Amino acid sequence: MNSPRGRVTLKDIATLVGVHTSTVSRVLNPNRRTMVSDEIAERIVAVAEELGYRPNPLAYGLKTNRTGSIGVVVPDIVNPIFPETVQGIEDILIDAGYMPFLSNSEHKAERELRIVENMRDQHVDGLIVASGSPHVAILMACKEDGIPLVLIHRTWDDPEISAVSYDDSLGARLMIDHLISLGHRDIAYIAGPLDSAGGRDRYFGTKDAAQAHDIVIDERLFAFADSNTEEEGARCCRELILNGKSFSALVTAHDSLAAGCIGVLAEHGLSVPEDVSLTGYSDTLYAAMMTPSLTSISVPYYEGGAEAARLLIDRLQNPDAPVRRIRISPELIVRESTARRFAG
Amino acid sequence: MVVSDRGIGESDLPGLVIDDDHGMRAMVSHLRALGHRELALISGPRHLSTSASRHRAAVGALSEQGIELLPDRNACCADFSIEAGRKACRFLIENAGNITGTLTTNDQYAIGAIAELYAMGRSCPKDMSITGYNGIRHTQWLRPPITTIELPKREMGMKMAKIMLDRLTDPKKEIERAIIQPTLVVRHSTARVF
Repeated sequence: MNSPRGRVTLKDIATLVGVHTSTVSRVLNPNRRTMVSDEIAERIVAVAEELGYRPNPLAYGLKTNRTGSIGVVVPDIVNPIFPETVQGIEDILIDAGYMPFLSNSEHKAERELRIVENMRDQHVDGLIVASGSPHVAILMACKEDGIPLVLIHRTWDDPEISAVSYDDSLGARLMIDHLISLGHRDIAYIAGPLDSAGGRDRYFGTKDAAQAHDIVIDERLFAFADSNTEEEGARCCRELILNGKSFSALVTAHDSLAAGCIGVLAEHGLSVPEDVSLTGYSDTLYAAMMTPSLTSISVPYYEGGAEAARLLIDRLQNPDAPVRRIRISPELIVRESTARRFAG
Repeated sequence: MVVSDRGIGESDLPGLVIDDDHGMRAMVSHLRALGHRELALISGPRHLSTSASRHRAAVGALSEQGIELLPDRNACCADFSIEAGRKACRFLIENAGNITGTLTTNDQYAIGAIAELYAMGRSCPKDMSITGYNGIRHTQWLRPPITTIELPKREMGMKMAKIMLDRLTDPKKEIERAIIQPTLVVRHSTARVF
């Protein structure tokens, strides 16, 4: 008597109780229950519970044009900032009765496009897309379909798209100011991928902050990582040492890059912070656990995720809700890896 | 449905089973070869099948080497956090007597235990060898890099997806159980007993 896939249907319940399917439907919809006699309603509810009936979101979706699911796309689940972001998104969405679908684009444009297209085919009610590199095609497609979209970790010039972003230029400046206050002037920098908004803003923010302190920019003190990974941090750190221009502080665009530097510095007899002050960015799990613990820039990723989910829910509940673009300020966290420059 | 390592031994669900006996045996043999006999264990909530399996595997592997795990040498954590690992390490140092090494059932515990060891003015591996389990990325890059049991996580995900796709294509297909063999990765958080 069950449907082939094992799911209990309204028809199963109707057959057992001996009423029409539409009566069952009416009873199981809280808004319309009053239209059926109490006695029958009670029997229907009892049978529904006994059979373990659960509403079918596909059938519901066909009627209401809503599925209650939200697509969430992140570029890299291995990067510790994204689990925090996703926690923030999920906590708000699940509380509001939505079901997030998570997918990981691995920073690949075509893969991101394919994921978003699949999610649209699955009729998600809305999308939260976190990725450093805006792909116009995706944004345009969502707009055409009228799917509410919130961007996180990146902004886009289109004033019609809601976004949550972080003030990375400010973060970069806070770090340079901190190092200058400790007497450092020979500051090396490992940049993150420049095709991401975060990588770019931190890189230019660092350069601008250094210039504001009249530091002459020396290209030998810059290295560029292809990804925010320990391997790339190690590779860039080697490159900087090989460049031969000495530095008393090494600023990196991500904690994972900094984590990759410590071993390389040690190989060259340089200890942190005695010989080189080392800094991270993002204040991930790493920063506090490293030896020495890492001075970093704390970014409220959980809050950012939660804020993005709130913006999306606002749009879903009221399509005329104003587009909002929120920029969150980061904070400097000083730990053991930075110290006053040795004057000797 | 496809499940990963959730006590599917007693069920008939398709999925993955991690050979924890193999993993813990490899870790205990490694520590024994370095001269450790006075060993402690930090393990997870016993009501969860993954923790229970690893606890059982560790006790069994120790016993095969003639080492009995004394109750004061087993710190059982309530969750899987780094913080729990810190507290467990402090408990062991204060209660477990003269231990030279500590096994853990996940990398977070090892990360927390090492941090606590340093906070108490000791160091790893000089004063205590500490081992992880799972092989999360961080273990390779923290100081000291952590000796751990590596699970092939990406392959596990792909394997599960494949089992699921097979079942969707042919629901009558025989239930598949894949046994996952973890491997020992020796890094610098373990050393010969001084």
